[in-house]
Amino acid sequence: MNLTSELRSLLPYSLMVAAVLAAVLTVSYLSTRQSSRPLQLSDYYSYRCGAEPSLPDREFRILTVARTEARALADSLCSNPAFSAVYPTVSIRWQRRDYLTLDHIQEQSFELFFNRQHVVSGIAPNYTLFYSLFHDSPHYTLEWISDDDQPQLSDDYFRHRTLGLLSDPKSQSYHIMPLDTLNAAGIQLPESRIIYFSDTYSLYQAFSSGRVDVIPVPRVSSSAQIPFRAAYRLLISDDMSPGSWYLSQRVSAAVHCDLQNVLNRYGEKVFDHETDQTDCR
Amino acid sequence: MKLTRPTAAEAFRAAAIWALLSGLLLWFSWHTATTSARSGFSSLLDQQLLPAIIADGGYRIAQYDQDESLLTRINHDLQHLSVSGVLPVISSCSLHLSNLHGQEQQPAFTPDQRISLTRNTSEGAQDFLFYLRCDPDYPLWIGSQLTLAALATLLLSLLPAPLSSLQRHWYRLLQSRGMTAAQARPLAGRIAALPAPARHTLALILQQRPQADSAEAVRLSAALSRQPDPAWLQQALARNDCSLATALDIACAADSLSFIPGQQTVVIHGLPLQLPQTPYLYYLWYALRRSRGENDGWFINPPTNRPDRDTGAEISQLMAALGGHGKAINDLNSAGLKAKTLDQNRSKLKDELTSALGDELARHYLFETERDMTSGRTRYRLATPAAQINIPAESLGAIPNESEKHH
Repeated sequence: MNLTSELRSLLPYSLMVAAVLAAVLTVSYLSTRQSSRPLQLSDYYSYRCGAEPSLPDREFRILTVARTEARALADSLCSNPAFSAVYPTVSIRWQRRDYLTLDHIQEQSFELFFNRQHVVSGIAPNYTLFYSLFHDSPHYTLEWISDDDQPQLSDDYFRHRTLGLLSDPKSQSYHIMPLDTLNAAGIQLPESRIIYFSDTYSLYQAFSSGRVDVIPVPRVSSSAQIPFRAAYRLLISDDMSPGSWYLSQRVSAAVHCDLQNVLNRYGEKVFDHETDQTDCR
Repeated sequence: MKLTRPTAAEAFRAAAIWALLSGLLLWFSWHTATTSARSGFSSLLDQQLLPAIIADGGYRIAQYDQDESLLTRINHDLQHLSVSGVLPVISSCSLHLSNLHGQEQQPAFTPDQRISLTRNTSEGAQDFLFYLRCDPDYPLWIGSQLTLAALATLLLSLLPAPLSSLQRHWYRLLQSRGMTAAQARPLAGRIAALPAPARHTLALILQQRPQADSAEAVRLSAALSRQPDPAWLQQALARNDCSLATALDIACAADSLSFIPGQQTVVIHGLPLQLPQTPYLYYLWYALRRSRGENDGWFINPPTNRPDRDTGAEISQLMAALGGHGKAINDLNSAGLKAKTLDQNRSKLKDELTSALGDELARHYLFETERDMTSGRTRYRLATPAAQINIPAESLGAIPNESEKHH
C-alpha cells in the first residue's frame, strides 16, 4: 500500500478533526476565562468608636503618627459623656508624618492632628488660619544605648561598632538626630557600619539579638515598647520634642478641657512622662 | 453521514471519545479559570493591597509599631473573593498572606496555587507570598464541559471518516465502472465489510462482466451461503446466456452429472449442456455402467477384429428406446459394438465438454483410461463417481433393468 496516498487521504480528515478540537478548546477557553473583582479591603490604619457617623460635623477626626495607645485615646473620648454629647463619633488614624498635606490643613480634614512644629509650618505657613497649637507633648531625652560597653562620641568607638537606625530620613529620633550629632562631632562612618530598619520593632529586635551594637533610643523609666534595660548609655539630646497636637478652629471650646485631660493621660502613657500639667477642671 | 441506527461498537466508540474529551475539557477549563483568576488576583494584590502595606517610598506604612493584628485583618479581607466570567465555573476563591513583617500565619485551607510579589523596601527586596485556592461551581463546571464534549463528539461523528485502503480500492473500482461518488462510497463501505471469500467472488464477477450492475453483484455476493468454485464461476460467467444469479448457482452447485430425459441435455455441475444425439447416448450408457457399478464402470474396448455383439445389442436397445439415429442402431445390430465407435464417441464428447467447460473442469466428467492386465487391451470408464451421477428413470425409456437406486 502506497504510504503517501494513505497519508494524503488521512490528512484532510486529520485536519478536520484538529479543527473541531481547536474550536472546542477555544470555546472552552473563552468562556471559562475569569476576571477578578476588585478587593474589598478595610482601612488597616484607623479606628472608630461611638455612634455610626451620620453628620460630618458630628465626627471628631484625629490624625496621629503611631498606633500605640491610639485606640485608647479614641475610646476615652467616646466614653466621655460631655465630649460624646458634642461628638458622638470619634475616629483616629495613624500614618507617617508626611501623610499630612496642605489640603488636609486647608480643608480641615481632621479636628485634631499630631505633628512636629517645623513640619506643619513647612506645609502651611498660614496654618493658624485653620488650626492652633493645642497641646504640647513632653520633651524627652534621646540616648545612645549599648549592652557591650560605654558608648563614646569618638571616631575610634563608632568605627568598630555596628549602628542601627531607622531608614526613614524624616525620623528625628532614629535617623536625623543621631546622624547629625555624629557629623557634628566629625565622625564619618562607612555605610557598611550602619544597618537601616523599616520600623522600631525590627530595630529593637536587632539590638536584642546582637545584630547591631548601638542604637538611639528615647529614655524611658519603664516601657513595654522597649522591653529591655541597656547597660550603657550616652546622651544625644535631652530636649527632643515628639511633636504637638493641633486643634481645628471649628472645634467648640466646650470640649477643650476634656480634650486636654485625655491628651495628658495619653502623653503620660506613650512617653512615660509624669506630666506637670494639671487637669483643667 | 450516518443516519442509520448506530451499532453497539459505534456507540461504545462515541462514548469513549466523549469521556476522553470530557476529561480533556474539564482539565483545560479548570486550568484556564484558575490561571486567569490567579493573574487577576496578582494584579489586584499588587495594585490594591501592597500599597496599603508598603508605601511608594519603600517604607512600611506603620513603621513605629508592630501591629500583630494586621496580618489577621488582611487575611480576613482576603478570605472570600469572587470572580466572574462568561461561564462562572469558579464559585469562590480564597487568598492568604503567609508572612508579614516577620510574622507567620498558615492558611486554614489547602492551597492550590501561589502568588509571589516583590517590593523594594528600605530593607531590601521583600517577598510577599500569597496562597490561593479556588473552588469550582461543580454543577456548572461539570455540566458545561460535558455538554461541550458531547457537542464535539457529535461534530466529530459527523465528519466523513476516511476510507480504509480496502474501501478506497473498491471505491475507485466502482467509480471506474461508472458509479457516482455518492453511490460508490456507501457501496464500497458495504463491500469492505464483507468476508474475504465474498469479496473475491465479487471481484471475479465484476472482472468477467464489465457491464454487470455493481449493486446487484454486491447483493448476490453478500447473500451467498456457500463459497462458489472460482473455476466454475469463471466458466459460467463467460457464457452470455447465463444470468448473474444463475452463474452463481452453477458455481455454488456440487459436482454432479444429470441426464435430462428427452432433451439430449446433460446438466454438469448445474450447467446445462446440449449434446449431439449419438454421443449423448453413449455418454448415458457409460454413465449407467458407472452408476450401476458394473465392473466399477470399467468397460474394456472390444478387440478390433471381434466386435462385441451382446453389448452392441444392449446399446442399440437403449438407443431405440430413446430415439437414437437409425444408422447408429443399424451399425450396432449388424456389426456389433466396435472399439472404434466407442473411441469416436468418446472423442466427440471430449470435444463438446472441453469446448464448453475447458480442460480442467471437463476432466471430471470425461473418461479414465487403464490398461487391462489380463486382456492386454485398454479399458475406459466415466470419471464421475456413481454418487454424483443422476439418471432419472424416465430418461431410460423402456430399458428393462432390475430396480437400482438412481441418485
